[in-house]
Formats: sequence, C-alpha cells, structure tokens
Amino acid sequence: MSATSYLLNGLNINNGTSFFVLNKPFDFPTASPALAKIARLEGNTVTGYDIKPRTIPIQVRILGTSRSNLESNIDTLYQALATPNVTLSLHSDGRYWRGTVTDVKLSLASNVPLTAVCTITFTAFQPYPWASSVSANDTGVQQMSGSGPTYTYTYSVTGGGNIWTYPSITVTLKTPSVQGTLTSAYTPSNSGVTQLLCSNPGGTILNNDVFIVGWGNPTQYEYVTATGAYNTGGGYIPISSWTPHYSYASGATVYKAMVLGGAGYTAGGVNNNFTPRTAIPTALSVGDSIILGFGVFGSTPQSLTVSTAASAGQTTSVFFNSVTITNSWPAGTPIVHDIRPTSLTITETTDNRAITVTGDTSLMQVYGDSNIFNCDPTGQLNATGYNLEPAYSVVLNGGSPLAYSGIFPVLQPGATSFTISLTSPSVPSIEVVMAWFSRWVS
Amino acid sequence: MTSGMLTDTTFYKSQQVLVYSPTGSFLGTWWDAPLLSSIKFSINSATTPWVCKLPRTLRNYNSDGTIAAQNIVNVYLFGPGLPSTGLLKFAGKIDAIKPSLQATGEEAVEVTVTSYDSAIADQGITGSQTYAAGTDPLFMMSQNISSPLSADGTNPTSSGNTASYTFVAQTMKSIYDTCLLMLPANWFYRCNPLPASSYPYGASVTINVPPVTAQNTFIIGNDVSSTTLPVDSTQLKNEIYVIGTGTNINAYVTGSDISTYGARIYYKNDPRLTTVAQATTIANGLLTFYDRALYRTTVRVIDYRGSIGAGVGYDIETIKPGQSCQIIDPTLSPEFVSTVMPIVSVSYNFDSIDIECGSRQPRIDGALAQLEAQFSDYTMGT
Repeated sequence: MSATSYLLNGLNINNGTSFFVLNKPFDFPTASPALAKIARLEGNTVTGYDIKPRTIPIQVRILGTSRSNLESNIDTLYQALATPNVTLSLHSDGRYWRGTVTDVKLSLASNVPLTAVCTITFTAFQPYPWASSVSANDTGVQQMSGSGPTYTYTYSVTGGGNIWTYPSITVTLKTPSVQGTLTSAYTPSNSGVTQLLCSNPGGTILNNDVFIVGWGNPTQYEYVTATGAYNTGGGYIPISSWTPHYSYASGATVYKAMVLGGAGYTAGGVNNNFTPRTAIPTALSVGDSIILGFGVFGSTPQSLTVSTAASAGQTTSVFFNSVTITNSWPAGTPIVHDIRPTSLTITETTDNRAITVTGDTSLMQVYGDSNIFNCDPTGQLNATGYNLEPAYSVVLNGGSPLAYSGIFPVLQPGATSFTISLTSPSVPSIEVVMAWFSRWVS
Repeated sequence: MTSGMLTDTTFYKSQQVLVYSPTGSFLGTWWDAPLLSSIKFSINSATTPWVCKLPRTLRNYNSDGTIAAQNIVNVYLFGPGLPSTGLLKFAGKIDAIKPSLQATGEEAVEVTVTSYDSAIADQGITGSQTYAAGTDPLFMMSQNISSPLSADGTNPTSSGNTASYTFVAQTMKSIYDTCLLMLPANWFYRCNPLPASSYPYGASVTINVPPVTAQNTFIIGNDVSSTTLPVDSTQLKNEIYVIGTGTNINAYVTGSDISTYGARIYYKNDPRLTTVAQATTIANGLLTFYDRALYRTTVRVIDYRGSIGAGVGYDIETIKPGQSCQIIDPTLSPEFVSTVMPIVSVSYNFDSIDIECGSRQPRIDGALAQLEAQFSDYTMGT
C-alpha cells in the first residue's frame, strides 16, 4: 500500500521512502474578536472578528540510506521549503493552502541512525484552504420574470466546502437577436459600399431587410438595407449603396431590425400597428419597446410599446399602443426591438449583499455580451476558473473595471439564494454562470 | 434565513473603498485597504485626512492604476441599518503617496487622502465682497460655497439676524467663522461627503443649529464605553474689545459675570470692520462665544453591529457633528440625566466613535462651546 501524498510546493513530504509525515494538525483558524467594554456591563460586547492567518506545524521524518543520502534528502526538502508563496496540500481531496514556510527545526534523531526529524512551520496567509478544482453552476438561458421595466430571475446555488467562498459571476445577455459582426472596418471614407463584410447573422436574408451597423454602441450606429441573401462565399450581405457616417471597427455588431412596410407613416397620424415589409426577426412580448426610425441618420426616432405579442417570422401586422407618429417615415424605415438593459443588480439574498452596474457603456447591450463580477478580493478566480485580475471588479466582456455600487456577493457552503434584476426596455433573457473554488475551515 | 457568517450584512459591518479618476471615472477597488479609522469629523472645520496604508510592493504599488495624485477615494460602509448601496462615510482626494520598504522587508504604500471639505481652508476670495446692512449672514455663507463644495439642500434660508460686512481676501473658512459670529447662538457648519459617482461630487455644507432636544441618547450600561464630564472656565472671556478701521471704529461689550470670574478681556483687531455697528455685531458674537463655562464632554460609543441579539451598542453611523445628545445612567437611583449637548466632533474608529460635546452652562440652548474655536485641522487657518 502506497503512502498518502502530502504535497508542499509540489514535493511529496510523505513519499514512503525518504519522507514520512508524523504529525499534521487540522486546527480551526484563530478568530480574534473585536471586543469593547461597555461601562457597567458585565463582560464585553463584540463588534466583529479578525480571522488570523493559519500557522500549520508539520512534523516530518527524513530517512537516508547513507549519511550522504540523508543529507541529500534534507537538501531536497529544504529546496522545496525555501520558496515563498507555495501551496500545501494535506487532504485527500487535494485542497490546498497558499503560504510560506516560515520556520524549520531539524535535528538528527538520537539512537536512530540515518534519520532526521524536522518540524516545518507553514504560514497560510489566507486561513481557509481552497479546492484544487473549480466548481461551476450554469443556469442555462432563462427568460426573466416581471412586467417591466425591471425583470428578475431568482435561483439558488449550493457552494460546497464548509465556509463561504468568492465566486466569479458571469451574466450574459441572451435576449434573442439576429445579428452578426463586421469582419472589416468601415469609415466615412468608404463611399458607396455595396457589400457589407460580416459574419452571417443567420436566418433568411431577403431584399429590403434592414440591419443596424454599430448596434450596442450608445451613439454611433446607422442602418443599411439588404438587396439579397447573405453571400456565404464572399462573406457579405449585399446592400444598397451606403457611405458610413461613423467609423466602425471590425467586430462591431450588425443587428437585424424590423422594416416598416405599406405606405409608411405620415407625421401627425395616429397609429397602433405596422405591417412589416419582411418577416420580423425575433418574437415580441407585450410591453416590449420597439423604436421606429432607429439608425436613420439625423432623425429623431420614436419609441413604441408592443401591445400584442408577435412571433419570430411574423409577416402580419405588429400592434403597439396607439400613438401619434411624430415624423413621417417611408416604407423601409428600420424598427428595432430594443433589448438593451440599463441596469443590472445581483442580490445575494441570503446575506443581503447586492451589487449594481448601470449605464449603456458599462452594461451588456448586445446578445452575447457579458458582465463579469469577480467577487474575490484576492483575485483568485475568473469565469473559467483561474487567475483573474483585478480583484473585486466588474467588467464588460473582459474590459477595464467598471463603476459599480454595492457590495460583492459571496457563496455559502450550503444553498445561497440569488436574484438577478435587469432593467430592460423589453423582456430579457440571460444566462448566469457562476464559478468558484470551494473553501474549508481547515 | 441569513448565514450568520462574517459575510452576513444583517449582522456585521464591512467596507468598500472605490477609487475614481479626478474627473470621476471609476478606476478600481482597494480590497487591501484597512478599515476606516482615525479620522475626525467636526463642526466648523474640515474632516481630517485618512492615512491609508496598503500592503503593496515598492515596485508595483500602483499595478491597479488607482494610486495617483488627486484620484478620488470613496469609502462606503455596508451592514445592518445601512443602505444596500452603501453609506458613503468618507470622500477625498489623494494628496500624498509614500511607498516604503522597511528593514524588515515589509513593503507598503501609505496614501494620504485629503477630505474634500479641506477646500474650505484652501479656497476663498482674492478680492472683496461687500454685503450691505440688512443681509442675513446665512446668505453671505451660501454665496461663498464654491466647488467642490455645494450647499446642503436642507439649509435654512433665514436666521433672523442681519448684518453688514466686507470680506477681503479670505478663505471660505474665515468667511464662515466670521458669519458664525454674526448669526444667533449655536449655529454651526458641517461638511458631508458626496459620492464621486454622481455630480456634484465633493462635499455638501450643512449650515444649521442643533435642536434643543436630544437627537441621540447614550445609555450607560448599554452604549457607552467611557465618558468624562468636566467643566472648564479657564478660557472664559467676559470683556470683548473689537477695533476696526477708522477713527473711533470700535466696540466694547462686557458680560454679566465679571463679578464671578473677574475681568477677562479679549481683543480683536479686524481691519475689515469699517463701522461701529459692524464692530458691535462682531463683539457681541465674540462675547456669546467666549463668555461661558465650558462643558467639554467626551463619550466613547460602541457600534451595535456584530453584537448578535444583545442589543448592546449604538448605531454610530447615524451620529454627526452638529447633532445634539445626552447621556443617561439608569444604573443609578435616581437615574442620571445629563444636559442636552451639541456634538462638536466625532472621531471615527470603525467599531466605535469618540464624541466631543460642548455646552454652555446653564442654558442648554446656549452658544456652542468654546471648544469649537480650538479645533484646527492640518490645513486650517484664517
């Protein structure tokens, strides 16, 4: 039977031949209460606790087959111990502390030839050991609940370990959208563009379909009109001659809009529906916001509220709450399904910890965009499991840290309840992926 | 059901330190910041700076790009009774950066964050401002609140007093202190931090008078760790002589307690005073200010947070300078009840606060204690 492995900086200090762990503690970390004396009250009151770093003494016996072999084994051991900020694993499940060997006492054993006994003092600056592998929870795509404009999704995650830990939470916008991305940059100097180089947005693209180039950018976007189906070989959508008003980088989103059909609208008329010129790309729910004239350069678009649900691919009239149309719009005018959130809050209801991000430059705006909340103050973890910097941060698609308000959620060893709240002009769908390393008290 | 762990904000208090660029762009979070402590909030003065020592290496202390001169630092508190978005406890700008390597190998960077409200001593007028007779001193103060400070929307618009004065090349603090002398007894000003995440960031200036009823009652045996209740008349002045500019531009006023304390004169020479009426207004203000025995009470109050279910301690985050308080000792029979005192300063130490209160004997609604005048922070001057 082979000896159990105990690893210190990768060295097995219980290899059954030259190293044998004689003693290992599984002590509780020291908690130092912040005490205060109240006059004329017996005892103290406590206002908090300071969890101290762990000091872990490990006794190891070193054997040699000869004097030189013993000395060589000691050298090997010392080489492993001399490196600061290493890992120590004493459990069968591979959980580990990170720290530094801060003291070693070694003496040759009396009356036992070719044997030394040493006591290694390992200081774990973070007292709780981490799991060696990442755990994760994926909600899958979830349509959020509510009547708007704030929609919620509530669920629970079981953490593992036996003490709280710090997750990375990735919230991805999954509100259905037909879209692609530019595969070439465009600038106003690109006059008379007739082939929009982009990935295939999917679905059937017909003559007169309309796309918003730059969708998700809060200020710079405009529409183009397709003249035919996506050209797979050339990797482009054929479009009516287009000269960009703004510069668009490769990777900018191309978003399929609905198209105003019939005779268009005349300013001042009262309307409650439009007949789409081509099939609408995505389903609409009652209360969703659609924007008439979005992407028409130099115009003032008008927001409308869907009054009757519509299905993806529908070619019959789409109904909205009756309004006076403020501008005249010809047939072919884009109408977008506005899915861009304005506020995102993650509430860890178990411990009443909530964090909020707002604003169109901070929030996921386009299908597939993600806001990542790294809740680990030590920067231990990212969505895929490892080594995220900076600690305690919120980013959009891996960008720079974003402003937020509130406090980062944590994950308890048992069930922890979360509510995701999204303020959105239309019923949103999201996917939440939570990743964490479980931790233990010892 | 909550977890009851140290992460449970329904039991325990925690903090987040958010850092912004000088223009308000978010830069990052100091997760390695120590708990907010050793800062002092006072009336008629600026908040002391926060000296924050971060455990960072000499070479890479600014690896997160947050440590640079004039970056904005906001300290938010979370916990029981606090907003879910956090309570902004302190706001200021980085004024000093001191990375260090000790002989022990310890590396750290010490960052001094100067409270926004230090602007009251760092900013002012270079020319002159004349306010004609009949002007409310509150108006004079409100006219001299400049960015990054802004007026608290709850400030009264009328004090009931009017005066005339010409301010010449004075800091905001000097102007405010002069206006206090022209206001009725007990008026104070206090600065409150504003978040960097929304305009106007900086600090708001509250100008008000403490209520005569206690806003905070500290109970011995429950809230108070220790207290002292001394009476001090060593700084009392009962003869005031103010000299202005021009022939016979002066004022002399006396208190009624000369027979008790003997004559104790205070001279003030202010070349900005050009009329007898102005000099008299200031002289009366000084007499109100100085002619009193000083009750200088200190109280250490412990936060209730973290003490599960015991109900011991007080909500220290609600206490601000300028509020009123009193102390009750129900362990005595009959119970001891102190006079109602205005809170002059709050020294903040995260889990507890040290309060200094001043009051005038015997009127509990008398002028604020002379203690106010003794406050001077590192930038203060007139």
